[in-house]
Amino acid sequence: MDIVPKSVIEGLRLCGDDKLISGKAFEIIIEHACQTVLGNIAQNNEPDLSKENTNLSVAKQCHGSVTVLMLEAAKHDLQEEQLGMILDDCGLPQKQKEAFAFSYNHYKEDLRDKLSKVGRHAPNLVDVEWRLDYNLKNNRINKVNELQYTISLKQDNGEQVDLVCTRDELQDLVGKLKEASKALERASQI
Amino acid sequence: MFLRLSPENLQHLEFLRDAEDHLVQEFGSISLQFLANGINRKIFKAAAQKLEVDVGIIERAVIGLMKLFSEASKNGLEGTDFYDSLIALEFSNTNAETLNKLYSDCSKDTRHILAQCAPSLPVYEDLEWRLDVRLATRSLHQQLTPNVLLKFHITDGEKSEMKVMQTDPMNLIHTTRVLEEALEELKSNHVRRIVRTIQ
Repeated sequence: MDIVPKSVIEGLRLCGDDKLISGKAFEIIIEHACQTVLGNIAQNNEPDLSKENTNLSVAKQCHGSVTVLMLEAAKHDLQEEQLGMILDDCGLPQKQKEAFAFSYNHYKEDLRDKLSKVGRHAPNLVDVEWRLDYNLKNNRINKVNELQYTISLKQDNGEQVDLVCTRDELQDLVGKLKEASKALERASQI
Repeated sequence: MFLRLSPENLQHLEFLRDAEDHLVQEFGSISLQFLANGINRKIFKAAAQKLEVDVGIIERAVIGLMKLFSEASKNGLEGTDFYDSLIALEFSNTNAETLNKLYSDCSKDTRHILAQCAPSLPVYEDLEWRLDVRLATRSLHQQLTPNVLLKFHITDGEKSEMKVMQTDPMNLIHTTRVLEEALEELKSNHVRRIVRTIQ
């Protein structure tokens, strides 16, 4: 499967050379690459390789290649054997192969979760708040005496949608949400 | 309960106090119509020409009646209270009866119109939903992600708008449960006691 460009394979091939990148440095680079993609480390932060015997320009190329392979493998949901074949193509020694495969298995779900959030979509509804008021009067009408709900729909973009509804309208709203939940439950059993 | 009107308002109604019955009927229906749909000034002019009086008098009389009806609706006046108030305002028996009939036919609608003018957040109208399973995106192949799209229809004054958002199974269940709790609260002793006490 041709899922990674040649330049990436070549970048990884360099990592197999112990004189350029030590085994320990390779592990540091893998961990750093994964954490950067997951957003746990700032993008301009560089891995600390001062204690390792490492060619810095190769380390950079290696970092880029590792990042691309991790992302492409997660994107295609590659299984271990498929990944193994690609790593064989790069001519990586057994120890480096294992280090990569270990990190891939460890971070795969997180990486896929991160990738699923890429792209344009409607804001996510993440929480809801409510308030129940008894309307007594206002400047237009004395004696309103009606129950009223105020609902705040919280979205993950920090915005919220506020609306008011009567008891009947809230019953309608909850009924429809329950319908959707049931449809979801039925679908999950297929 | 008696209706209390401002002296200015009482002056506006002066013209109608001794007017003929059919005129009161006509003015009454026009003012109710204006309450529902807004004022149409052409009608003032036409009426002024027909009755050969100053257009200002007509305008004030109609606005006076609108104020009378809306004040009565605001206070939720019952038919007999409204009638008695008119008699106290020195309307003749027949005129009071005519206006009372118009009032009882329309007071519910007028209250509804007034309620819409009260300050309020956008009002819930409807919810549409759609269930999707996302299979792949450019950045992630081979996925199986359930996704519920929610489209809220909301009216804010006269303008209606739609808010679209999506949610996942966990958040959908959470939202439904929280709102169910909100409905449950209606059955609580506290809410029931307050509603019963303030009627």
